[in-house]
Amino acid sequence: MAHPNPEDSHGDAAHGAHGDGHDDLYLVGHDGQLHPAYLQHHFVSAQQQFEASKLGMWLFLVTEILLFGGMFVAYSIYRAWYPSLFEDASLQLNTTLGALNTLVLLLSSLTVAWAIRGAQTDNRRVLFWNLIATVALAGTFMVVKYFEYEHKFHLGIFPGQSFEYAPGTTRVNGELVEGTRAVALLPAEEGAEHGAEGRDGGHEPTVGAVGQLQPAVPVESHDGRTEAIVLPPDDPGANLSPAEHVTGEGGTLGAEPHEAGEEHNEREGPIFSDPRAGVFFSIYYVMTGIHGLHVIIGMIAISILAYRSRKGVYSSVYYTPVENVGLYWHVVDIIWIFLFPLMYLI
Amino acid sequence: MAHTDDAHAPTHEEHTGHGAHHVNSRALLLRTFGGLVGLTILTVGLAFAERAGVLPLGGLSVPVALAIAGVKATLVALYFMGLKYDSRTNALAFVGAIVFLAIFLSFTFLDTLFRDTFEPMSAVPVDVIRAESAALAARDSLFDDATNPASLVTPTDTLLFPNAQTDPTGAAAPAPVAAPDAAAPVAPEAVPAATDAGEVGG
Amino acid sequence: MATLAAPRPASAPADTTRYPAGHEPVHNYLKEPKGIWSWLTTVDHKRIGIMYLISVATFFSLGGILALLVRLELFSVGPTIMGAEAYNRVFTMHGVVMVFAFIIPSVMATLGNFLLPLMIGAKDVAFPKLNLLSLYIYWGGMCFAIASIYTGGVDTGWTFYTPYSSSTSTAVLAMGLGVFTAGFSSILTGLNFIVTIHKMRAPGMTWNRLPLFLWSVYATSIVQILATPVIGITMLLLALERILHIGIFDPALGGDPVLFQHFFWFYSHPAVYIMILPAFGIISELMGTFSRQRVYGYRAVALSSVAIALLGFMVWGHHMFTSGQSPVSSVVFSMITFLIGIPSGIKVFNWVWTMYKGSVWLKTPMLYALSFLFLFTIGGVTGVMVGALAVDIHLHDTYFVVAHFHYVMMGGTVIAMLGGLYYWWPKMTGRLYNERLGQISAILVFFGFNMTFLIQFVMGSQGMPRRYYDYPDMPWLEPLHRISTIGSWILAAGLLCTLINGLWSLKRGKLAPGNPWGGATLEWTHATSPPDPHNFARTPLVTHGPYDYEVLFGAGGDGHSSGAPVPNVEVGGPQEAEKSIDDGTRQPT
Repeated sequence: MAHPNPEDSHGDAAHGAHGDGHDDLYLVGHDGQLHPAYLQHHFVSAQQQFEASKLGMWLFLVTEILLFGGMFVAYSIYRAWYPSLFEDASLQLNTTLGALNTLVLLLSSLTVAWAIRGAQTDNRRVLFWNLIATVALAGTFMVVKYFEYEHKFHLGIFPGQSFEYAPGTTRVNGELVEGTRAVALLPAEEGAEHGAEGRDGGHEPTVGAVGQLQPAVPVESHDGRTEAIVLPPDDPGANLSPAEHVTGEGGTLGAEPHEAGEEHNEREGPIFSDPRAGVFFSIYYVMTGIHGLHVIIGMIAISILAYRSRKGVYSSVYYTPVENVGLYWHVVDIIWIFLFPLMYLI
Repeated sequence: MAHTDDAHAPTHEEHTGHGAHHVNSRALLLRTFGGLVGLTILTVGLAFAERAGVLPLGGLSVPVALAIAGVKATLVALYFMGLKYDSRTNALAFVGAIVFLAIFLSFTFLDTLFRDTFEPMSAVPVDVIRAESAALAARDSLFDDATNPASLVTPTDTLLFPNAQTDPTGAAAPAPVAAPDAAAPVAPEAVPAATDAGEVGG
Repeated sequence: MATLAAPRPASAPADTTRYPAGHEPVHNYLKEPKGIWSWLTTVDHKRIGIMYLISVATFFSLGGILALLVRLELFSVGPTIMGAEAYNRVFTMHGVVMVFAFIIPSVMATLGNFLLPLMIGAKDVAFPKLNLLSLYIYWGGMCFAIASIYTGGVDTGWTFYTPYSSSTSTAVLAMGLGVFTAGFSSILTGLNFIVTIHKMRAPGMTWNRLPLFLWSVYATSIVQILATPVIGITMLLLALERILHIGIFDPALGGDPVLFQHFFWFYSHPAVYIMILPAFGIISELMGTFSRQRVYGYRAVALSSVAIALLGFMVWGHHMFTSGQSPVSSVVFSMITFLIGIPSGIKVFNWVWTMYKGSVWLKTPMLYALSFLFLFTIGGVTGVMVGALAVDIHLHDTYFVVAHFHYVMMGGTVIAMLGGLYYWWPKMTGRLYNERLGQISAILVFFGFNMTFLIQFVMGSQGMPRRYYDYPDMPWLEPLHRISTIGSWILAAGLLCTLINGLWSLKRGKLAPGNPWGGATLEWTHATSPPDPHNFARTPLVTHGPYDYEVLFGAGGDGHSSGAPVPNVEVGGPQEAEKSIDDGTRQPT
């Protein structure tokens, strides 16, 4: 049975702390016996304490996996129902920045693992500077994320109800986007073509279809009949809202949330007319948001570790907090490893 | 007691007084990182290739991307997190979490993928139903001209020619007087025939 | 009560000021260190357990009062004491308080915290400070819950189904925040317990010598850490839905309200196993000690706890049979629900077999344990009934389901917890309770409970829907409702007897010996009553199983205790005869 190690690099500190804790039966146990300062009284040995700490951290990571896992389940379900929504939406995410963020986080995993190695080999410099590098890389990640978010807000990509749809988009409940008025029907061919392009069948809304609705007001009729049919636009490649084609007015239909002109061109992509775009981006923002929150918490924890390592608290004898925070950081990385392809790539 | 040179350090057990912990070698860390970067490049490359149309994975794109991500996660777990060299309990906890997540996902999919098992329309969202029926109506309305030809005789014509038939197809014309009489004798005969048929058949 | 084989020695006159000779605890965790601040900053698992007990008992009383109000309203057709809006809030608050504030932490955080280190021979749990944090987080969550109640409460039902819960103007956010926070407390407790059981067992305490209570605690902890994060994300999504309208559960924005139910029940079904598994553990302990023989089928009982914990994650859809989920999933969930009845049945059979040829000692804890057998069996069997898909289509959201879950939750968990509290009361407080009053409480609770809830099976199958404020079109149900309400008063009286008994015993109860029941587990054989702040003077060495009464108390013959002496309550079994080892962790005496 291992006895607490008497040859302790922090012997003096242990003695000092030991001395004034004698009277407190709770926090300081073994009177008359030298023990490492970090060994808590309810543990029998440092090894037991280390293993217990590590298992505790693994169990906490289990809860983190289940927490994010819930969101992955939501993602999977909506993806199974509306695959084209997800494919269209991923076009709005900057793959290059996402890949950059992935590499940044992978590198930060390397540096934190290296820092642990530094602690295990009593190399304080390696430990400290790798922890600093990890924080720096995490900060880079957050900065890139900030720019990504900012660009999206610029384009009006908000979660849920706040998503700024293209004018003329019919929402799921049949309502038109605010500020637009009823427009005429479009034939379904355009919508059918769009919907049939390489997608698995299923019940997904088609681009053309979302422009269709029951006209609340008869639009100008040429020969006394309500105009119910409009020929498809000449340039099917244009992704502007069908409403503009129908009325023949160039992009002045309704109140647009952004100034017409160069802004409008940036909001390209079928996603802006998809009535469920809000749901995708809700999932996106919630997942990346919670992930970002965990990155920030990790940054704070690693910074504290770096500060304490500077003071020489950690060595091969005792580096449990470094190990545990490292484990946490790796899980944050693993979650991003899954988030990146699911959101950006496919 | 800082040791800067790994090769000459006393054994971990002697040094710390407790059991040896596995120390990842520099080479191992770098190799793992290399693998991770390589796999990242692979998955991004595949995505770009697919978007450019060079490599049509189609329905396979999701499983492939997830598989690559899974390998990356395994590398991180085994080597960076040290599960390969660690106690089995920790690995069991990690794997257990994934297993239960898989249960969550698969059982929920049992619901969401099979909502239309007995009623085909039950899982279709309401806006898609409306859109499809509107599309059908629009398509049908293309034939309006053929099925409902414009009347050749306008109201103005009937002022000049009071006896002209305003409705050449007879669609709006009242039924001939003989029709009800013809129908009436037919009906009582039909009814007992029907009941006979009903009794025979039932 | 004629179970004594040997005549008792003449007992000393009742002395409430002195412990029996040889049983004085040297240091009493209740008394040292002194002061309220030492309690609020303690890391002693026993003190934390006591503080949890006080909190949990308070919320049980609050939930109970709300229940009495609900039943009072249903006493007659038409408004009796409140309007419909108020009624919705009252039954919702009853559910939320009882589930999240009382029953989830009930056995784990009180008895679990107190007993786990004692039973495995450790000085404390693995992370004592985390334990204290867990208590504070629980209190924080309860503050949010109270804030919600104060601002009018919630009227969605404790299940918070969307889309109503995302649009109602009641205090859903505050309550959701309370649930979210309390979840963290549950997670930390479970985490602590798993690590403690894995890493801190005393020498000789193999997995096969763990008391069955700890096997249940272990299984429950696994459920806690796997399931609780999902309710966390669910409440977070509900809050975001309410505040930002993210649309994930809103059909008008493209979401799916049934998805909320999947998320909610993925936690809440395993949550019911969090509620019942520790209760199973208590019953195992009671059955062993009060039959004076080992629990039959140790391995079956231990492994069935783990089986229930794991299978419990695959049956959540049986709460959603009428929600519009696919028939495929309904069938699968129904089948697995049948399966999960099997391990529970194994346990009940084993407990009954434990009593066979035993020397059954009908003290108050055993009366509660016997009540449990009867009541939980009814609850479990009716659970399988509503687990049958075709039957549940008709019984869903009726009083049949209400009766079922009250039988398992109250007739199961609460009864077992009361039995456990009576059993371990001498250990926790160093006092004996009044046995006569205890027996009266057990009888009143049993009788009152059945009167309240048995009739509800009938009501439910006759069509009485749950969460209904009134039943004007079914006036023939009124006498049944009245029976149920009167039963609730009897039940309340029985519970009040327990409260009085506890308070009385604290002031005037006889001081307890170390092992009044002759238990064979470490908390009885190695710790004083009440225990030392550090639990043990020396690390115990475990050389026998947890139910080896004959080893300790020398029963002859076939081990059945027809010949075994019943410990004299005045003077318990020997304390120092147990072995211990010196591993350098000796505590100052």
